[in-house]
Amino acid sequence: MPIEVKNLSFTYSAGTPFETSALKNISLEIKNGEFIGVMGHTGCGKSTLIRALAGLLRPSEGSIVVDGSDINGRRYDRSKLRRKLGVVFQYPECQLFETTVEKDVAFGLKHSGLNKDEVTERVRWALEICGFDFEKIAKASPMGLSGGEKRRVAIAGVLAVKPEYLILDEPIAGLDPLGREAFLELITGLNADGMTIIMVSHNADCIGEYARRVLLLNGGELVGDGSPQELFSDVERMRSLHLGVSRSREIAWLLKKGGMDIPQDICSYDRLLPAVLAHLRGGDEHD
Amino acid sequence: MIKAKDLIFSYDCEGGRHRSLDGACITVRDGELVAVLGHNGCGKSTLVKHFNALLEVQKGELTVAGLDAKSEANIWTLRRKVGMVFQNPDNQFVSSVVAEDVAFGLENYGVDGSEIPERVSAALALVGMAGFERRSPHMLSGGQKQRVALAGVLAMDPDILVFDEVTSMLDPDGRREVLSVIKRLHSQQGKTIVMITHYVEEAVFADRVYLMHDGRMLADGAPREMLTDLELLRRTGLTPPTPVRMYHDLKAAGFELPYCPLTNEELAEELCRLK
Ligand SMILES: Nc1ncnc2c1ncn2[C@@H]1O[C@H](COP(=O)(O)OP(=O)(O)OP(=O)(O)O)[C@@H](O)[C@H]1O
Ligand SMILES: Nc1ncnc2c1ncn2[C@@H]1O[C@H](COP(=O)(O)OP(=O)(O)OP(=O)(O)O)[C@@H](O)[C@H]1O
Ligand SMILES: [Mg+2]
Ligand SMILES: [Mg+2]
Repeated sequence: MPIEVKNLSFTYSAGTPFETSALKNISLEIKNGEFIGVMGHTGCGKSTLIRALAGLLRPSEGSIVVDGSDINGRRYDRSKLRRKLGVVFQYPECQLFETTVEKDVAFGLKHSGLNKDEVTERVRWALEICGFDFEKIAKASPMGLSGGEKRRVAIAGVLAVKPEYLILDEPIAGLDPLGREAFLELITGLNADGMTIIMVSHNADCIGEYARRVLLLNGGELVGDGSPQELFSDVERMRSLHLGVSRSREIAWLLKKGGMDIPQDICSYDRLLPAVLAHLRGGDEHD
Repeated sequence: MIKAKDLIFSYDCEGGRHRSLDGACITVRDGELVAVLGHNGCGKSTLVKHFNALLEVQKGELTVAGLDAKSEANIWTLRRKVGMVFQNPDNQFVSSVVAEDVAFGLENYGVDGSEIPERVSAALALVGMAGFERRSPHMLSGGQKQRVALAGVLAMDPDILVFDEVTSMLDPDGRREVLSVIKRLHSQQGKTIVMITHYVEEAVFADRVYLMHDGRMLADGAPREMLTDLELLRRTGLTPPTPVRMYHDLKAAGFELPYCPLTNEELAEELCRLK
C-alpha cells in the first residue's frame, strides 16, 4: 500500500516572529517499490517533509496516509509506523547514544520479537552490509568513530529493522567515494528486493544515476515530479532552482552547446560513454 | 606555516591502542591552499585537530605559525591563530541565538566590543545568512547550520583556516558560494588554508593536494598530477573525476585526447575540438 500526502502544509513557530512556512500544499503519492530522490535548495523544506512522513511533525494542514491510515489520526498506532518506516536523519550522528556500536544498532530491534541470537545475527548482517567488520566494530564506542563511520553505523541501525520504507536524509554526505558507491549499490539491491526508497540528496550524480523518480522542492512547494531524464533535461531551469544536474548530464549539455549532437536525455555515465564513442566513430548512436 | 613530521596518535580505547595517525607528515606554506583527501577514518579530522591543539601531540613534531604545538604555553595562541570549522556544525554551536554564537569567539578573544556587531553582520552576510541573527541555530536547516558555523570562524579572521568538510550539506549554489569565499580568502587575503573534502572536484583549485590513507600520507602534489593518476587514486580509495574517467575510457577505445581534462568544461572543449 502506498503513502499518500494530501495538501500538506507545515509552519514552524506559528504566531511568533520566527514563523516559517516550510511546506506549502504538497500532494503526492509514493507507490511500493519506488526509488525516489528528493532535491531542493538549502532550507526548501526537505527535512521538514521527512519529519512529517516519519510522524514527528503534526501537519498544519492536510494529511499523510500510510497504507490506508492517517498517521495523525487519533486512533493510529504509532508503533506500527515505526516498524514500517526506517528513517536516517540528516545528522544521524546525533541518533547514536548507546555505549557500544552493537547496542546502538540493536536498539530498534527491542520490540521486534526476535530472540537474543537472532538480534545478534541481524546486527551482524546490518553492520556487514554497511561495510564494517563485525568483530572489529561491535564493541567500539559510537562516540569514538570518525564522521563517516558514525553515519554508516546510524544507517546500519535503521536497516537492521528491515523497514518497508527507507527514508534517507542526505545519507551520503560525509561518505568517502567508495563508501558512497557501495551504499548506493546496497540500497539499489534492497530496492530490487521490494524496499521503497526515499532519498534526499544535494548530489545530483547519485540521484541521476540511481533514482527512478525525482521530487523537486522550491521554497516549500513541490515544483517538479518526474524521472531524472525529464527533470534534468532542462539544465537552465534546474540552475534557476539553485540545483545542479548530474555530471554526465552536464557533460552531454556542454557537448551539445559545443556543437556535438548528443542525446539530451542522458543522465548517467553508462549512457554517456557509448553515446560519445558512437559520435566519435561517426556512426549512429546505439546505446 | 604548518609543519608536521611523523605524527603518531592513538585515542585511548578499550581493546588495545589503535593508531589513528601513523607517521603523518604535512607541510602547508604561508598563504598556501592545501586540500586533504582520504577514506573515512583515515585520520583527516584527527590530524587537523592537532593544528589548534585540540589534540595533544603524542609523538612526532608539529610547528604551527612558528610555534611548537607541544609546548603547553602555546595552546591559547594556537587556538587564536587557527580557526577551525568542524565536520558536524552541531558540535560548534555554543549559544541558542545565531548572532551570539557568531560573536562568541570574538568576545572570548577580547575583540573590542564596539567592533563586534559589525563583524558579526559582515560574517553572516558573507555566508548568505543575513536576516537569521535572532534565530536559534537548532531551528535551522542542515545547510543553514553549516553556513552559520562557517560565519563563526570567518568573523574571527584567523591567519590559518581549517575547513573540515564544510560543504557536505550545501546545495550546488551554496557549495559554489562557499568555495568562492574560500578562494577569496586565499587569493585576496593571503590566508593559509587546509580544506578536507570527499569531493575530488573541490580539490581541483587547491595549490596542492595531499592523499591520505590509514593514518599517513600516500602522496602530495599539484591537483592535476594527483587527480589524473588512476593508480594512485585507486590506492587512496578515491574515484576519479568524471572527465578523468572518460579520458581513460576513450583512450582504451582508441581515442586519445591531447591531455587529461579535470573539469567538465575542459572535457567538452577537447571533445568538440576532436570532431
Ligand atoms: N525547528 C525549526 N523552527 C523554525 N524554523 C525551522 C525549524 N527547522 C527548520 N526551520 C526552517 O524551515 C525551513 C525548511 O527547513 P528544512 O530543514 O526542512 O530545509 P531543508 O530543505 O532540509 O534544507 P537543507 O538542505 O539545508 O537541509 C528553513 O527555512 C528553516 O530555517
Ligand atoms: N574520539 C575518538 N575516540 C576513539 N577513536 C576515535 C575518535 N575519533 C576518531 N577515532 C578513530 O580514529 C580514526 C580516524 O578518525 P578521524 O575522525 O580522524 O577520521 P577522518 O579521516 O576524519 O574520517 P571521516 O572522513 O569519516 O570524517 C578512525 O578509525 C576513528 O574510528
Ligand atoms: Mg535538511
Ligand atoms: Mg573527519
